[in-house]
Amino acid sequence: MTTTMTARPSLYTTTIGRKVLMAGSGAFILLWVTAHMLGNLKVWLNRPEFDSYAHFLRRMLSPPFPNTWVLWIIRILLIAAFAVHVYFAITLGLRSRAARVSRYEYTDHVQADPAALTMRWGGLTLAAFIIFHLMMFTWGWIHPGYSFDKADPYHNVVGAFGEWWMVVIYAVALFALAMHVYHGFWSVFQTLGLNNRRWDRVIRVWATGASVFIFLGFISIPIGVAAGAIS
Amino acid sequence: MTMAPEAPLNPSTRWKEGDPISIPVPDGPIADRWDQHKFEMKLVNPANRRRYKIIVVGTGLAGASAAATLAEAGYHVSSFCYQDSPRRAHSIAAQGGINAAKNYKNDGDSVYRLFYDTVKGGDYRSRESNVYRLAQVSVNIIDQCVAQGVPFAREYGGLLDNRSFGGAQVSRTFYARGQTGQQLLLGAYQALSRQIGLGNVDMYPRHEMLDLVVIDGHARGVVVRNLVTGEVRSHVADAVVLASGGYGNVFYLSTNAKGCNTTATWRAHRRGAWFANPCFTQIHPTCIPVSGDHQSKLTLMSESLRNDGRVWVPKQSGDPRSPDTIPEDERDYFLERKYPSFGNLVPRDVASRNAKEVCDEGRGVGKTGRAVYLDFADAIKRLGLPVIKERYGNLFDMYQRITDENPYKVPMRVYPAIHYTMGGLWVDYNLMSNIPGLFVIGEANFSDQGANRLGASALMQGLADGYFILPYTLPNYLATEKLEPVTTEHPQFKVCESDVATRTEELLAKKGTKTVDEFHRQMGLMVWEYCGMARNDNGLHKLLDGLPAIRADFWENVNVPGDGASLNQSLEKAGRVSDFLEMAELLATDALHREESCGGHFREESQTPEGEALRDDDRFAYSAAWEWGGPNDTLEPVRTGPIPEPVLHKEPLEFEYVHLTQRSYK
Amino acid sequence: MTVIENPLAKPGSEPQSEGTIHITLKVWRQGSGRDAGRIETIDAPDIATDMSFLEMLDVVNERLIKTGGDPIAFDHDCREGICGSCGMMINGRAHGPEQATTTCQLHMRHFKDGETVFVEPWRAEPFPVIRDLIVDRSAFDKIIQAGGYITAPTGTAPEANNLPVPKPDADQAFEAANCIGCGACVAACPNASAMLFTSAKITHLGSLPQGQAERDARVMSMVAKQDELGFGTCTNIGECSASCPKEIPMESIARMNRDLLRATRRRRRRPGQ
Repeated sequence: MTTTMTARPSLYTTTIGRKVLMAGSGAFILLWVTAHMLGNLKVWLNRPEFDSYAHFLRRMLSPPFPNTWVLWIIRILLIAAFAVHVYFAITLGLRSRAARVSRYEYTDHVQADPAALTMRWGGLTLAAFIIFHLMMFTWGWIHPGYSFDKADPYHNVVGAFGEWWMVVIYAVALFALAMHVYHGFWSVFQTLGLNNRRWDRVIRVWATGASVFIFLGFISIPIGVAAGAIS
Repeated sequence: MTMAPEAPLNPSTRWKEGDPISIPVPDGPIADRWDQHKFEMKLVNPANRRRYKIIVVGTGLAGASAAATLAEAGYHVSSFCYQDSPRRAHSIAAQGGINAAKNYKNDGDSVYRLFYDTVKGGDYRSRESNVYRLAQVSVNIIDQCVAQGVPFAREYGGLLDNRSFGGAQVSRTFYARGQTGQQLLLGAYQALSRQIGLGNVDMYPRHEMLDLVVIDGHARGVVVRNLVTGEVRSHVADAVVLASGGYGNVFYLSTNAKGCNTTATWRAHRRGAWFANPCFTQIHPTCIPVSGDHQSKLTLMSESLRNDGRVWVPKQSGDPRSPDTIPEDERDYFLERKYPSFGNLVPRDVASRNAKEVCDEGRGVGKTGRAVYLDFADAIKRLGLPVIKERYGNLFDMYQRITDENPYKVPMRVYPAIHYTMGGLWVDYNLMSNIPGLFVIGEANFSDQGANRLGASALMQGLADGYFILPYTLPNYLATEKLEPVTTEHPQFKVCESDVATRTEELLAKKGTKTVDEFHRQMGLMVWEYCGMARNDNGLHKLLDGLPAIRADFWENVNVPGDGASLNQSLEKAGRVSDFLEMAELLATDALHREESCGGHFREESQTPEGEALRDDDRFAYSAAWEWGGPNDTLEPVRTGPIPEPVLHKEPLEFEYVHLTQRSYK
Repeated sequence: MTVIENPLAKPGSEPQSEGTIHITLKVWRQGSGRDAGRIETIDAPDIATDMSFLEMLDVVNERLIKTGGDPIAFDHDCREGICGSCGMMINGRAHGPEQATTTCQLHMRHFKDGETVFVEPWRAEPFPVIRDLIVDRSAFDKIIQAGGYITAPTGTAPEANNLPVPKPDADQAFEAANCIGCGACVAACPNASAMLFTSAKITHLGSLPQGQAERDARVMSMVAKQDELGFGTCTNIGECSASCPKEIPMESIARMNRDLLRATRRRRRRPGQ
């Protein structure tokens, strides 16, 4: 029997396949962000705990791996995940723009939440923030009002949030992150086809939980420093 | 314009009597006729089929299923529809269901019973052999649709569900909630889409057929207009299939889609095809009433509502009170009063006529006074709100959306409206018209429904014709006829193209003072008034005198804005209305000549002492096939005066199996 | 002059002035796909609130024709919410402000006296404007032609009840088969994506046992076709489903994603397919 159903695209040539890659890379980044936050929270305990965490990162799985190897493997994976995530965000985004060249004179939405509508702008904000964040805490290029000491991350954290506007920048960035995580978390399930109407509400609740958790976890540190609770 | 004469013209000048029709009707036991006929028909060698080109006009249930099936068999099919996609044909709006003699409910149904009920329901004005065949293939339709993935309603055990519909005593109606037509059409559309994808069907959406090309007495092609570019083009074929639906929009307000029209069938008629029984039109009793002059179409609500709703009007004429304040003893439940045994479940025509009667007496309700109440208060009291919600929830929602009234609290207002036309182009047992090579299927033909169609039978007929009958009979024609090859360079194609172009130019040239819709409304109201739920000699003469006046006015004063070289919806409408204006006259002539009441045609002069329809089998047991009275070599519109006297060909109907009785619902 | 009275009107009844509103339309006018379009302001007084939105446009068009203007072209046919012909953006919303309602079933009582109403065509590159509010949606037909069917040539069908279908599966198929192909999902989607339309057909046919044989091939072909036609990418916003007059759920899209993942995975395992 002849058929017209002859197209056999490989998964990653389809828009859906590319979304799957975005979902996978996004999920990986989210896992890392969560671990990053849990580690950072150690700053609330005391300086030795925090330093030992930084130390642990360098000595992860050592032995058998030499020091910093695992950290580098994670870093490389992370960079790859970012590369994939950003590349497809840009190409798929351009594709969608090309699908609506002429725009509506009057725009409105029925239900779309800001989190869903701002994925691209939020993503751009986050990209800018990540570079800023690296410039502060990894490369030490930005250190308003304190001296950057590569060997003393606790000192860097406490020094960084001495300025109120730095707290504001972080608050804004973390809000963008929370929005991105809220929609991204739910989208992973939807894109991978794991969503259905029974689980939809549950996944929405998880997504809210995850974004609130990440926001509060991270924001507690600048606020803690600014409030003098961490010093 | 001059006043049309009041006194009727001499009836004998309204039409001419032609030769009776005698066609080879298969004989032998009725159950074997179709099988025998299938065996006797000639076949086309599979290797040769690709060389035959078949044009199918319309993509409803009949057209889409025929185009898909013929393409599957290997023929080269071109399919045309005026909509932007074949999926939008008006079959999609059918709500109720589709009948099939499956006897899944084990309640005594059979092919023979479905056949018998359909002939009887059609008030004995259909061909027995055709109807039997329809009942036979009904079972195949269900199998076919299920295999295509039509999501029919199912029981918890996973088997197909059936319901009883339209007063039938067996449960033989298959349904998909209130959207059976949609689901069946999508099945046919998908089968058609597959053939389009395979390159076996050339699909032409947004194309309207404007002429039939007849060469050496055979249908050899069509002239179509591309509705987007305005381009007029000819298409050659070895056979032409019209599946262009009914002509209900001749009444302007109907439950048909806005685009439904008679243009394809009427222009085929102008080229020589006979139009049969045009006065057989069906009126559905429960539609949402007209709300004002702006009304553009009517919305039907399933007749299942009458299972629980009680129909009433106030006893007192012009009663201004709101329905809930009218006490029980001042209400007239007129159907229950007049038909104690059937009550609110009397057939469509009886319910409709009685609604008209009480409104004519001034007892109608609502703003326009043309509506009756359909009250669910008692049913809600008896069965509880949840049951009513479960049964009719979607219909109640629809009613509320349109009228802004809550039918759970206030009674619905309903009024009858035209929704199906049994008449159409005359066809023989092979579904071929009197023009060899012109086949007509679905609602477009004069159908197996006789003078009245039973509920859930329209979908059955459309799919029977398209899937299981035409794909056998059309090849027989191809195999028996030796057709000369023709091209669109043939002079007749040029004649047709030029006729189409002339009509378009003339419509565009007038730039008069009245819009197309004004003429359409004016004509429709007049046809509805005099040839709607009831007809009489005097009214029909008035109609026959009034129509030429409207038509003359149309050709003098119509304003069609824009040009013909692009998408122009006013122009499309104008062309369709120009055909309706002629067609309406044939409809009225047919109604005038049929001096009996029969099915959907209630002739006031022919009624029993109790006011019920009275058939006259001695004089009218025939189908009336009308031949265009003028020449077939031109499409020139009849601008002034009546249409040329049509010629009546009678096809006598013989009933060997079904016993003729008068209907009674007392 | 023959005067034909409106037999539907009660004798002596006057046209009601109550129940009418006066609105201002801002309508997209475009001569053809090649011309540049623009918003035109049209004054629309005396609009009965009982009218449907399309009847309002009918009335406006009648007035335009009478005054030598050019009527607004818009697609419409059944006017009972099932054919899927009509569709326009009304104040930025596909089919207007009412949920689960096609334009033909939207009534003017949902608009306020004095309101300004923007009316625009569906906007998406795969849906080019033909004239005014009419767009070419044949891309949807092409998606169906690519695989939106079950191969069941006439005459091959087995007895219908030989294949019981669990009621929940049949109901799910029906819910997805409700799609009327109007294009509101594409129009409302900020990305102009056709995922809801495509997934509705995949869910309809893939929920039924009859649809299993071609399930993998179907999803691969239909997804490839919708991509090829230039629709945008789904970012799971959900405007499609919220704007859908038939309320096709978002889970159909998840289901299509799942089916595509499964189909491409199985294909790797069985490369001949």
